[in-house]
Amino acid sequence: MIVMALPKGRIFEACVEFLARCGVNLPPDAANTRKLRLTSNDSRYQFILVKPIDVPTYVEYGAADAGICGTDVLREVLPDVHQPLDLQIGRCRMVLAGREGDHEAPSLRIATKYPRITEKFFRNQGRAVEVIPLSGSVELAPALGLAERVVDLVETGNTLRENGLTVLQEIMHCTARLIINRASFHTRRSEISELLESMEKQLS
Amino acid sequence: MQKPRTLAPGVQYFTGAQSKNRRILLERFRSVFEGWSYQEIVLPIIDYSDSFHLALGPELEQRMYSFVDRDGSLLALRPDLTTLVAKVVAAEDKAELPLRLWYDGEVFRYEDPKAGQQREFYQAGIELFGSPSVAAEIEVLLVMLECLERAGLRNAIVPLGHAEFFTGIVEALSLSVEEILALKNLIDHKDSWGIGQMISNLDLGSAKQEFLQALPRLAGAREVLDRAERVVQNQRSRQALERLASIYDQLAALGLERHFLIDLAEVRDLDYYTGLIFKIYSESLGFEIGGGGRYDSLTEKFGEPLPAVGFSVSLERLMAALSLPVPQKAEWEKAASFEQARRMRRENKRIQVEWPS
Repeated sequence: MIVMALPKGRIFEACVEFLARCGVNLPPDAANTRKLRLTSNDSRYQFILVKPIDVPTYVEYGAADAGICGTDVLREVLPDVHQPLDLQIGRCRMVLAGREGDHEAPSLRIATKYPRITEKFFRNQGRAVEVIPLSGSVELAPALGLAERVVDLVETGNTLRENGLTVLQEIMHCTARLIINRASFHTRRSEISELLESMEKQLS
Repeated sequence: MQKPRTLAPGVQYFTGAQSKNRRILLERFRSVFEGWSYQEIVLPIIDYSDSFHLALGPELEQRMYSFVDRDGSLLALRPDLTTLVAKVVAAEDKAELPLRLWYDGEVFRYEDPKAGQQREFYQAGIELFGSPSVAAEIEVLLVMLECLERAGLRNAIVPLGHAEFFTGIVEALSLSVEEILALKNLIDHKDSWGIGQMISNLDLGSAKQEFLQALPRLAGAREVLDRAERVVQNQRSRQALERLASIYDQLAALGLERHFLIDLAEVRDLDYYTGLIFKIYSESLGFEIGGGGRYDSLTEKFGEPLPAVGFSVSLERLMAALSLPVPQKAEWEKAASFEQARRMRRENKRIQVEWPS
């Protein structure tokens, strides 16, 4: 049995739908259940439902053999895992956003759920900024004077607009990736390559 | 100042059952090493930073604990034991080759403590100097398997790769240094998709593109070698494949097939290894327990070229992969006085003294 970590939240339904296309079926009530562990109909997979930012940790330590997580999380956590496939789902952009008409302050504070990516982004531009790590509702920070800018994911841009923010710069495109534990890749070779093949067939 | 009770990050201490089991494992290793006629080498904990830089390159150097000696020279806590063995061996008079050495001891690396990685950890291993032959590689792998078995790890999975396989491919592609690094990083993560993205911008021709994209999947049973042989043209890679086939077949002839796999996408530590590369995995642990390979150019950096093969395991990781029994509490006898205690100790009895009140 392969243990697969799936991210609750934004891309969960897209994951379930993609897995179904690959012949890996979660129980029908997966999206609404409060259970954190589910088994596929054919008992070949056990799914654990965790916070997106935790998916790489489960996989890196081998608590899960495989997982699905966004490139945003992968770049932030930098786990030592295999990442063979881009699943072409959960597309979004990570952007730097600020208040419209707001002139650049000389010392910039930036609120984000992605402190590592943010820091690196500005360091590569040769700029020193103060990164303020938050774990959610980042868009509120500028209105409350906590920060001048935010770095966050956008899909439609609605949340930004509602909070009077506008995209200033694009940092990267994100999609969902399949990740695999380095030991499991070898120790559960046949099951893993079966999974890879069925996914590749879907993607080609 | 830190609170007096705080331990520094990335260090551990062991006591009770844990320390006992460590001793038991190390003792079993020692007996296997000595059983194959390897001699112990006890190494310094501190050496010049330059030695490690020379051997390990800038990547590991960044993770060294370096400090300045009183005379101004830069020293480091050893981040690796093989370097020290190679350095010592290069300087020694080598009357007898091959030279078989074993060691165990602490290693120090400055990294974020995570996934079985502490800043201070304990390694045990062997180095076999003086032979470029397949036989040397087989011997090292057999000693390794015996160590793991005696330790109680019976399901070890060891993927075999070869440093020259990747080198040959890169050579044939005439890529820039940055492109090679990027490609290596993608292969290391078995990222076929990323390779596809990268090479779509390079003018390689469709056959080469397809091959590169399939490279991360050149891992599995013996047939991987045949698959690779059908598509690889360059001489270096083909020789690497032949070598791996010869190693694998000898291991199979010894009935050890179930432990070994082929992984041609194994590209870590290429600055160090020159031939065979292997990693040790077990179903019961999510990361490697140890590894090794052939490093024929290391002693040359210290002035004396000598072919070499070796392996090492991380003791903490091995223990995490094993479910070790809790050792029995030892029985002891009462000694009523210090005089009696000394007498009983001469008879090698385990005692506890009843102190006069």
